[in-house]
Amino acid sequence: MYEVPDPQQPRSADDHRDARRPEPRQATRVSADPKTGGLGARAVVPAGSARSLPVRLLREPTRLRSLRELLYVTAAFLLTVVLLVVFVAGVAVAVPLSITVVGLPLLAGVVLLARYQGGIHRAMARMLLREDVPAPRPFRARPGAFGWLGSGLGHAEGWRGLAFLVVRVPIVAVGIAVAWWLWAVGAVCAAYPVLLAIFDPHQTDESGRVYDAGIVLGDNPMDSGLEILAIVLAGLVLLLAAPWGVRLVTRVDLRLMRALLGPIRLAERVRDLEETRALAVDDSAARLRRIERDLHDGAQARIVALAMHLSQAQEQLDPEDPGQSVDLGKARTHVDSALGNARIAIGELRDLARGIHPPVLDQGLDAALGTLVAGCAVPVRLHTDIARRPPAALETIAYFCAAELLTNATRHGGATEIAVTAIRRGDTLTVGVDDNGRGGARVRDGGGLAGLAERVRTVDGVLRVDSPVGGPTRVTVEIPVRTT
Amino acid sequence: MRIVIAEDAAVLRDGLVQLLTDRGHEVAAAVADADGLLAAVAEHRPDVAVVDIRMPPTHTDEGLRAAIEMRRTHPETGVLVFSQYVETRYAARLLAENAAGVGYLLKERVVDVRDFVDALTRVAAGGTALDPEVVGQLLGGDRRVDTIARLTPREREVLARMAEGRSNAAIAKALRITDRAVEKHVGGIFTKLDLPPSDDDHRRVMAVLKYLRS
Repeated sequence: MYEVPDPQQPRSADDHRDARRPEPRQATRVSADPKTGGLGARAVVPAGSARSLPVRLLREPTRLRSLRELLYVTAAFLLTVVLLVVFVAGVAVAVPLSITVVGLPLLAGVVLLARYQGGIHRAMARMLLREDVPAPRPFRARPGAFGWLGSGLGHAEGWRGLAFLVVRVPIVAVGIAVAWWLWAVGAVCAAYPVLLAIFDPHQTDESGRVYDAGIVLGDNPMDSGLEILAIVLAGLVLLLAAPWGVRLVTRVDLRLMRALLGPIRLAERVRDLEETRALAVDDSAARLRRIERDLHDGAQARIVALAMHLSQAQEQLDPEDPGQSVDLGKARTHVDSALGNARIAIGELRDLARGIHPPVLDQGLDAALGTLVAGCAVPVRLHTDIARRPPAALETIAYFCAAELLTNATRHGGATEIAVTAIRRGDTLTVGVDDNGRGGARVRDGGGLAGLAERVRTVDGVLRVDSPVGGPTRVTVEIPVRTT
Repeated sequence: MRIVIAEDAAVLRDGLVQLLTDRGHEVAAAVADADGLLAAVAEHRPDVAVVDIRMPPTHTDEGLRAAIEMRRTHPETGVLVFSQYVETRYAARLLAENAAGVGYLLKERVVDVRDFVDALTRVAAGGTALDPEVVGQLLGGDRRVDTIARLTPREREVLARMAEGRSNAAIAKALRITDRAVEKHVGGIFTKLDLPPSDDDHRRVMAVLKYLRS
């Protein structure tokens, strides 16, 4: 039985430290998984943690982490109570005042402050628990005074911050009680004999009897050796359990924090969409500029040169000066040059059009890839398995990705053997280019692969690169196919 | 004529060189960017330079800026600027002070080889050569529609060619009328537009343009 790390649950720095402790029986499984193909190494976290369970139990109370967590719970309680009082007061003042002109802005200010105080809690979690709760999206006010007012009053993150304070109070209250009770009682019980010796307590019960015992259970003063031992053991048990109790409280608190102080899923999605939309717009503007340049510098210049030759041929055939004789030789040379230029212009325009949209793509990605690899100087093995055709836009993106990756493999990778795959499994279209070139391909800022990754991201796709120096290189593009 | 060419599209550059050398002119240098142009003009002191407005590195107005610079440092060299599109702003900048030895043509004008060489010769000699498109845009501007409307159609044709920088003789030939008729029309134009009369072709251009742009 082993604990596979749950990718949904973010691992804290403390968890990482536990797993990193060297332990002779630790193992890393390398899986020759046919799905990832070849050498996909996947490390699996080994048994339990680095240490066996009893040892961990015994050591836990002595660890700094437990102290930090205790500190956290205490500070959290105090902070929450103080802040809650402040904010409740703020709201209580602002709401009645909202009939005046001052009230609503005050309330908006309170809501915004509620958002920012969330940062204090997250900072505390980061410092004491070594857990990172990501910040929610920043406050962006709509323009104008009324815009600010509206954005402030309606700022969801602010109201969530207030809700956090309210909901947290019972949690940290219970938490601090549990924490201190476990630790304090545990400590006292565990040190019972020592305390007895130091304080030598005398207790008198109702009937007037005097006992030399500090703790009385029912009628029984715990003063015999066995009873003292029992209390000490009970104390030790409580001490061993204390850190776990506190940890439970912190886990619950963190969950609450993530739910109320972290970014909202939807907001994240919107942010992602905004970014990729900006990328898509920039990308298409850049493409249009490139096309314009290619047309201007290439085809148009050539056609103008062509026309110049024809004009000169015309001159030779129709001289302005009536005395001048017609020079057929020169005319012929000009016509030949014109024709040569025409042919080249046709070729350039054809290539340009194909660079915009290859007509064969209309017949499907597999057909287009077939033509693409056939035109490659290096031998390419093609494997396609696309039962249902994805939407045309996705086919186009996949095609141009494959084209660029193929160019990379031949031009930069120096490969002599290349394999291209295009497979649709259910809702995912995967295009892969493997080559035996020199490897070392990285997604660098501003580089070709980064540009591809961004383009793919605009359709929620993912680019994966596996390219150790020396090769071989494998690049895959996964694009989700939405059937809406 | 000694000529320097600045054009970044190799195909076009070679075509221009061939065209001009075929006609017996000397192409002292053919460069592909603005710095090359300024260096070549300084070195060879040509009669005229043919300059593409769009050149590397930014492909916006390098050529134009170099042309304006050249006018300052080498006023004896004529400049004939090529442009992809009619940009009246660029034309204005080029003609800011003085229209002598300045030309502004659309790239496609070069296809009409005779006209192009004519324009080049005119500019080398200190005259002006403005593309009919540029003039057309200026004339079409609705600001002076009523005053232009005062001109007869024939006068308007003469005005257009005057603005292009053509001499009376050239206008007469183009419109197939006599030199005397052209002079009469020119006189009429200057009167109707309240322009000071001038014999200098390029000063005429300046006057007309100034009027049209005001």
